[in-house]
Amino acid sequence: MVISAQDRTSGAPRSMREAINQFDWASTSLGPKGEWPAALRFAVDLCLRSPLPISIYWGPDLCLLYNDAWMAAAGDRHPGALGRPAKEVWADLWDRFGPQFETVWRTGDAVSADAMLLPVVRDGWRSDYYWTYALTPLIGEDGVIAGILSQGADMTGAVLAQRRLAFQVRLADALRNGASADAVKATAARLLGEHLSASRVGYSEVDLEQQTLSTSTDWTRDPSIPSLVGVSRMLGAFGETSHEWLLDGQPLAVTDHRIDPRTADPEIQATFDGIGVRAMIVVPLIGQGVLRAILYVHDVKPREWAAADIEIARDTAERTWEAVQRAQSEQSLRESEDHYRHAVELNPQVTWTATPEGRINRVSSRWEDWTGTSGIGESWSAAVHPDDLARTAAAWEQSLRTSTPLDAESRIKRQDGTYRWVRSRAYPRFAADGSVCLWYGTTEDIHERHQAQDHQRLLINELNHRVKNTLATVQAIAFQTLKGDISLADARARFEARLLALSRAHNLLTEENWEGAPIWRVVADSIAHLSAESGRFVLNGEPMWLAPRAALALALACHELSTNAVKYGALSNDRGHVEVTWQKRAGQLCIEWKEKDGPPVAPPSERGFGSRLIERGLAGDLDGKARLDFEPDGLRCMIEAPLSAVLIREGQVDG
Amino acid sequence: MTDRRYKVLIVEDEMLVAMNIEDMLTDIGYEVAGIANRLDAGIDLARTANFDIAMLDVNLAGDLSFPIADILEERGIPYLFATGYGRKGVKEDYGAAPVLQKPFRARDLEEAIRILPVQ
Repeated sequence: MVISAQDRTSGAPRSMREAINQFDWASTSLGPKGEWPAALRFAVDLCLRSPLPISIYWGPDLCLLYNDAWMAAAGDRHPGALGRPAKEVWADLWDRFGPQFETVWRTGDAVSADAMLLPVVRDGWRSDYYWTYALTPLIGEDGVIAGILSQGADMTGAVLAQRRLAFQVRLADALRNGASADAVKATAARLLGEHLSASRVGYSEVDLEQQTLSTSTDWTRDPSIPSLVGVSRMLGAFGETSHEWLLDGQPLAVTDHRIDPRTADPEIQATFDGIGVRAMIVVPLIGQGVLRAILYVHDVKPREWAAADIEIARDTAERTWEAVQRAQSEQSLRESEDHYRHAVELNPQVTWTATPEGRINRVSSRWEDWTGTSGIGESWSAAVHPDDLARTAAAWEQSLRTSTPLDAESRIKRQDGTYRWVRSRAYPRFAADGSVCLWYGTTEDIHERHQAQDHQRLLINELNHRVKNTLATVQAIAFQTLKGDISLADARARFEARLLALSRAHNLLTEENWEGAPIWRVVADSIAHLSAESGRFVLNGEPMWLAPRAALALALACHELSTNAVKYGALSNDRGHVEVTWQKRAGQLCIEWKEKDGPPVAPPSERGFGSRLIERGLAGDLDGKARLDFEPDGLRCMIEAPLSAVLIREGQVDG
Repeated sequence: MTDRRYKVLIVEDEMLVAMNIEDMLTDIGYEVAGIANRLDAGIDLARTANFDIAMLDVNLAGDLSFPIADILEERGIPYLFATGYGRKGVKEDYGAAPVLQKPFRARDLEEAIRILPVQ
C-alpha cells in the first residue's frame, strides 16, 4: 500500500494534531475544545501520539476524531470525516458498523472484527482493504460510557497473500491434471478472473504469418460481457507503444485506456470501447524470442491495478503457457502414438519386433487375424508349414548369429486351414555399443505373387516344351525334305517353303492365342504364298474353328498340295484351278481338294514327302483318314476327321 | 545288334515327328510295330501289340503317357521317354527309364535304345 499523507492544499494542516487544534469544534456536539472533558482530552492525546491507526468516536452521535495513521488509511473520507458523526462518515457501511457501535455503547463491552472488507476510495479510485479492528468503550468521569476507541491494523497484505496462495494452489491443481490445452486455458482464465474480480480474462494466440491475435478461450464474469472467442485482430490494432511494450515481454497494465498515454490514439480507444474495456492487464508470452500469445484481464470500469494483481496475472500467464505447451506436447505425443498404432494395425503387413535373442515380443494384431495365434514367443512357429519350419528357423538363427537382415519365405496356416505364402523380413536396430538392441520385422502375404511365379515357371516350362516340339517338327521336315535323291538347291527351296508354311500357321494360331483357328483362314493362308494364282482357288465351306493341332496339320498339308499343283497339277498350265470345299457330314468334317482343267494326271511312280505327310501325318493328326486320288481330270484329296477331334467351336469367324 | 530286328512301339502325338522317328528307327535297324498318337490308342497298343521296345512322348495332346509306362512295366517291356520337357518332365517314379530330350539325333536315339534290357 502506497499511502501518502502529503498536503493536499497549501496552508493545510501538516498533522492531525494541527488539524484538530484548528478545527471549529464549537459547531459540533463536542463543543469548543477548551471545554472538553478530561477523559476526551486524554483519549485524543493518546490517539494522536500513537503510530497505529486510531480513531475516537465521542458522544452519543459518535463524533469522529482520528490520528495521522488513520488519516493515511482513510482515503477520500479525510478530511470531511473530522468532527462528523460516525453515521455520516460511514453512511455507506453503516449497516455493518452501526450494530457494532450500538452493541459497544449499550453493553459497554468491546467488539472486534477480523479482516473485514473496507473499500477505500482515494482520488476517486476505489480499492479494497481488509482491516482487523477493535471498538473499545471509553468511560467518562461519571463512570458511564462516553465514547468508543477504534484501533485497527491493515491486514490487506496478509489477506491478499493468503488469497494469492489459495489461488495458486487451485491453479496448480487445475493445470496439473493432464487436461487438454483448451481446458487448461479455460480453467486458468476462470480462476484468474474470479480471483481478480475481473470482467473478462482470456488467452489469445499470435499468428506470426498473418500478424494477427486471435482469442481461443476466455472467461467472462457474466453474460452481459461479450466473449472475445473467435475475434481476430491485427497485432498493431492496440497501438505501436503497447505493441512494443508487449514485444519486450513486459505486462501492460492500463488503469483507464482513455487517459493512458500509451493508448491515447482515438482509434485504439475505439477498439477498446468496442469490446467494452476500460482497464486491462495484458501479459505477453514470449517463446524463442517471439511473441506467441497474450493473457488479458479486462475490467469494464477504470481500475487501478495493484502490483500484486499484475504479478499474479503474469504468474498465471506463464504457468498457463507452460501447461499449454505441455498439454500440446502430450497431445502430439498421443497423436504420434495413435499414428504409430494405426500404422501398425492398418498395415497390410504384420509388423513385429524381437529381442536380440530372437524372442518375438510384439506382433501386430493382423497376425492373430491370420493365424488365430498371438505370434509371441515361440507361438509363431505353430503357424508355419511343417515343411518350411526348419528352413525358416535356420534363416532366423543365421540372422541372429550374424546380425544381418532376415529375408525368408514360408507358408503359414490361416485360421481357415489354408496355407499361404508369406515373406518375413527383419532388420536389427543397433545400440550405441554396436550390439543389437531390437529386431524390427514385417511379414507380408505374397501368396498371389508366389502363385504368379509358379505360374510363370509353368509357362516357361510349357514354352520350352513347345519350342522343343516345334524344333522336333522342323527336324522332321528337314529330315524328310533331304531324304532321297534331291539337289541341294531344290532341297533348300522346299525346306524354306515348308518352314514358312509352318511359320504362317504359327502366326495364325498366335493371333488367336493358340486357342484354334478358323478353317477358312488355315486354307487361305497356306495358299497365300501363291499370290499370282490366288484367283484360281475357289474356297467354299461353312465357318468352323479348328483345334491348334488340326490347324497346323491342315496348313502343312495344304502347302504340300498347292506346291504340287503349281509344279505338276492344275496350276501348272494357264487355265486350271483348284476347288477346296469343306462340310460337316455324319459327325465328320469332310474336306475336299479337287484340281480341275489342269494337264492330264498320271499317278507318281513313288510317294514323296507330300503324299506321306497327307496320307499318314495329316490323317494321324486329325484322327481321321486322308486319301490322294490321282484322277485323270485332276488330283483329288479327300480328308475325313471326326468333328469332336478337330473342332473347338462352330460359327461365324470374327476378324 | 542281334539278327532279329527288334520291334518298337512309337507313342507320339505329332505325326510328322512320329514319322521321322519311324525313319530314324528303320535307319538304325529297328522295325516299327505301330504308332499311337493318343493316350487311349497307346494304352490299347501297349496291352495288345507285339513289340520289344516302346518310345513314349510324355504329353499326348494334353494327356500324360505314364499309364502306358505302367502297362509296359507290368509286361516287362523296356521303354524310353522322348519329350520336349526333358528329364524334368518325367515323374521320378519312372526315373529308371532313359529320357531323350526333343529334338534328338538318330545317334542319340540309337545310344539310348541300345542300352535297354530287351528280353
